[in-house]
Amino acid sequence: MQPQFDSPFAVTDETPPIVEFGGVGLRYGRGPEVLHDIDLALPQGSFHFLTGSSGAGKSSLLGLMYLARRPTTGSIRMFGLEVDRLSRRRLPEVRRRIGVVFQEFRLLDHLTALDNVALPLRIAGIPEVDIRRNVTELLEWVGLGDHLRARPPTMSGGQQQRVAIARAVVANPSLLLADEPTGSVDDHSAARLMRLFEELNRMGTTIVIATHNRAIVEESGHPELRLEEGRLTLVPGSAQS
Amino acid sequence: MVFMGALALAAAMMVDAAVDRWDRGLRGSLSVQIPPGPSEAAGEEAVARVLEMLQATPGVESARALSREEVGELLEPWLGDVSQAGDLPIPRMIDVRVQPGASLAVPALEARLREVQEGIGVDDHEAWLQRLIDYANAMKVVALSVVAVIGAVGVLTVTFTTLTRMSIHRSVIDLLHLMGATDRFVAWQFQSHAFRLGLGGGILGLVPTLLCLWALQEASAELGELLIPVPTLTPTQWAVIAALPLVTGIVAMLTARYTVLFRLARMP
Ligand SMILES: Nc1ncnc2c1ncn2[C@@H]1O[C@H](COP(=O)(O)OP(=O)(O)OP(=O)(O)O)[C@@H](O)[C@H]1O
Ligand SMILES: [Mg+2]
Repeated sequence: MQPQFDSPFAVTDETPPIVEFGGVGLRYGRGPEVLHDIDLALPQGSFHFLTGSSGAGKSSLLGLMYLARRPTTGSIRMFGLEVDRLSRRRLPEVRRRIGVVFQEFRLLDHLTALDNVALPLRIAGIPEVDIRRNVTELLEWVGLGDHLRARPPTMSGGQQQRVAIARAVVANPSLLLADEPTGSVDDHSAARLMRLFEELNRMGTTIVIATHNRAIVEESGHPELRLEEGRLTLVPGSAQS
Repeated sequence: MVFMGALALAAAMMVDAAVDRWDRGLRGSLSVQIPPGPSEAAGEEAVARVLEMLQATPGVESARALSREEVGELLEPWLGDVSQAGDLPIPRMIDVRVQPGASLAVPALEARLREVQEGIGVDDHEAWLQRLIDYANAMKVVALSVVAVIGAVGVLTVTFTTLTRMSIHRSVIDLLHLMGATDRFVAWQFQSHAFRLGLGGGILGLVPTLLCLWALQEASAELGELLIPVPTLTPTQWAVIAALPLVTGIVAMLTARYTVLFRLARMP
């Protein structure tokens, strides 16, 4: 189903955690500390929900994971690499292994759905023929086969969200971070998206989904990273994962 | 902006070309004036003798006496129609071409010619030519200053236009960065686009300029052969003007590039 660009993965016990936080704190400018002393390790192939009330710091935590900013204190390892120590030139290749569904989508309004989704592949320098085939296939799969040439401003919130999700997964990332990916869709579509995420996870993608949707969290049985006032607690999942 | 800059540049280059040709055109010539003699026959004889002497002078390429009609035409602006005036005594003129590279000692030549007849004058145009060239050079300085000012304003305009456009694209820059694009990749997206916009804008400004210059040349060509050569542009100068859009393109490109790189440098 998914376009394959990476070499096949292998889950072994020695594989380092995909994400590892040690005593991470974050503040914006001179503002108050938004995240306090966060310790966290996400094993390869894991599936976590990230929950917490609005303003708890979910988006901020995800932002640290996709290297949008550096933590104020503490250290972060991604894919076993100490990203704090990595030179700036090495960060793009790390970022390319991470797919992000932004809370506010961040689609480019002047590009068609096709070109929006193609962006990560163009950045990775994939040949144009392959890009077309993969992107078309993926957009059909998320139910936007009729909207390949549509531009985001002419699409509904739910359609835009699906374009954003397609763009996040098109390059077959090792880590998928989704910020409220089911926020703009009805329950039926939300369930369908969840099946997409489950399928990606089965194929080896490590997944973190920030959500307010309790029903989804409870139903899936995946473990929950719960943020309360910038502090993180891990709530084990009910499922036998 | 390109329009005004190109016109000023063209003006400066035209003046330059004109000065050069006036210089070359007039430096190679002298004129000899023979005041009217006691009789027409004496006058003709004086002219013939002077011509003879001139042709025997080393460095002289040719010497030609202007007919009474030609002299009359030259004097017409001052004296009115001389031909109507019957045998009003008018001076005779001899147009002398000097061999390229040769220089004649004007005072010595004048002294020798005065043996033929009192009051003969030799004019090598030096004095007024020099004043004309000084004047033209001053004009050139003015035109070049205008070019410099317009050029500076143009560069700033293109820079600020590009900066404004880039601020709209800030979110795109950030997004590409977060998706793992290298700084080079992101900069390239914007600088190639900015170059095309700058080039396009430059070409838009250039079209009316070229039309203006072309019209100017056509108009001056109609004036025909004058004493003063008509200012024109050489192919190289045309090329310089035609290359102006390239300058606007490059300025826009560099602005975009450094804006992007500056923005990117603020992100990890
Ligand atoms: N760019 C920023 N600059 C300054 N403060 C910020 C910035 N982004 C977030 N914050 C602050 O950090 C805190 C956590 O915000 P964050 O967006 O991470 O919360 P969230 O859990 O994602 O909320 P929501 O559920 O509403 O999306 C908030 O108090 C917010 O005001
Ligand atoms: Mg958020």
